[in-house]
Amino acid sequence: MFLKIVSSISIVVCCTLLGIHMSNRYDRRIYNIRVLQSILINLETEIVYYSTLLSQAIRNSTRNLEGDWKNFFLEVADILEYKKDCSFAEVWKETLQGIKNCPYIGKGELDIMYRFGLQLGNSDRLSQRKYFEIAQQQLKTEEKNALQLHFRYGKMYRSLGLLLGLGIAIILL
Amino acid sequence: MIQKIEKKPIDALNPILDALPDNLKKIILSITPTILKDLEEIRIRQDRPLMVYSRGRDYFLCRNGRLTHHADNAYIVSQDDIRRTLELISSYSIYAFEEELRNGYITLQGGYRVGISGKVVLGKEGIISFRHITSFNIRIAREILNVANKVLPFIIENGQVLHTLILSPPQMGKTTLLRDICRQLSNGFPGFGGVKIGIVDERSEIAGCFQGIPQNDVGVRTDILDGCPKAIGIIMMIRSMSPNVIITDEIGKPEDVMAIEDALNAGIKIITSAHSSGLDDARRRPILKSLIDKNIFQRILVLGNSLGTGTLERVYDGIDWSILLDHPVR
Repeated sequence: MFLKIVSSISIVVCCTLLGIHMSNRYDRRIYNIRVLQSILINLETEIVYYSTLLSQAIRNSTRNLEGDWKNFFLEVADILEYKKDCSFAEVWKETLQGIKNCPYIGKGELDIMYRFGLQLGNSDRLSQRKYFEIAQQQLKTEEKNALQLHFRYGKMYRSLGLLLGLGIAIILL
Repeated sequence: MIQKIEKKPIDALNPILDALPDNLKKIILSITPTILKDLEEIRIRQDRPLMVYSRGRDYFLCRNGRLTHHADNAYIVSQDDIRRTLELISSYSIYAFEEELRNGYITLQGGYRVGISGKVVLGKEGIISFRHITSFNIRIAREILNVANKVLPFIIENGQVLHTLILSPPQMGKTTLLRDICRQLSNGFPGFGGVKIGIVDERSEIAGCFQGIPQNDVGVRTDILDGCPKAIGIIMMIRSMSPNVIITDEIGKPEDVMAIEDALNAGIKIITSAHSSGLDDARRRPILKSLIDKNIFQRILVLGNSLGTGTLERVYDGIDWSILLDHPVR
């Protein structure tokens, strides 16, 4: 009986944690979108107002920020500085491929960043500013979508995890 | 006269090699070392043969780096080579070189200049940008030290620098001369203690700045306004940096004259240059004529190539028009 109680408690805890984990995906995605918006604001300032070279502009823009997008941008900057045998578009696409399977980044943001990257750095400051504006507008829409998903599924996964755990425990008992 | 030419070792070509796509870089590195050592220009033109200029003549380059005089055997530059070269010379940051692109060049680390040509987009205020860039001329700058030795006795009198105008046709070494004058006046030399110099380097030619840092030796007491229009830059220098001497290149606009007059009124010496084959030629150009006739410049130096590039042909006293040097010196 003691063994049954312990295993039931373990199952409830595990299922609850799984639910929390699933729910956190939605939280973390919103966090990542907001970090991405901050990075783009900083990057726009570096490019439009200071004309900083792209790799350095990326490094300056990600300073004091965290999250999965920071790692993506830093990887792009590293490649630009040390690997000179591919074009910027290739670097951007390859690095995006690397974070494609990250559970905390949505397809919407990936598509926005894919299109944005093809224009980054290759025109004058006025055009660059417009590309930043477009990307920011699209990210705002994506943030709203992510928030809706968070409200719709975030709480559901938390409750579902606990209930699933309890259900399995009751059956076993 | 001893002139010390600073030959760039092959390692010093690294900023240029870094600005080339891998395939072009391999071709350039395969050139025989003797030619590579004296390389002066790399010409990259879309759909045309890759060329280099070295030791006074040009060569086509084959895919394996072999030099040839037959264009048919040469490596033909592709559109992708051009696109990649543009990305690399601009460090993937076209926006950072907007102003330079309007002037038709980008300066690389090391002071190397890349000339650019292609289809220009015009606006109300002149060139807006390039739409199709189709060729690059990578110039390997050679810094020539002590070239100003022959000139300094004429432009310094009783320990004071004199207002000086250098007249020269293109490619006769006036920027090289200005740079060395700047270096020597700034560092000082036996009998001259060195003075504060302000360079207004509109086209980044004198100091060859990369990200604001001079890539050529322009002296220890020298401040540089890089990429700044001369007229604005001269006024800014006067107000902010209190130089003893302002050096600038290729004057020719009415506002340049006004700025120079401001500098004179502030007690600052001016050393500058202009495109002209001589004094008579300069007097036929209204802006230069007004400067010369106002007796602003105390010394007028004329450069030519009668004894080779950089020959000092004549020196005039700009006040009483006496000839201080009547035979060519190199």
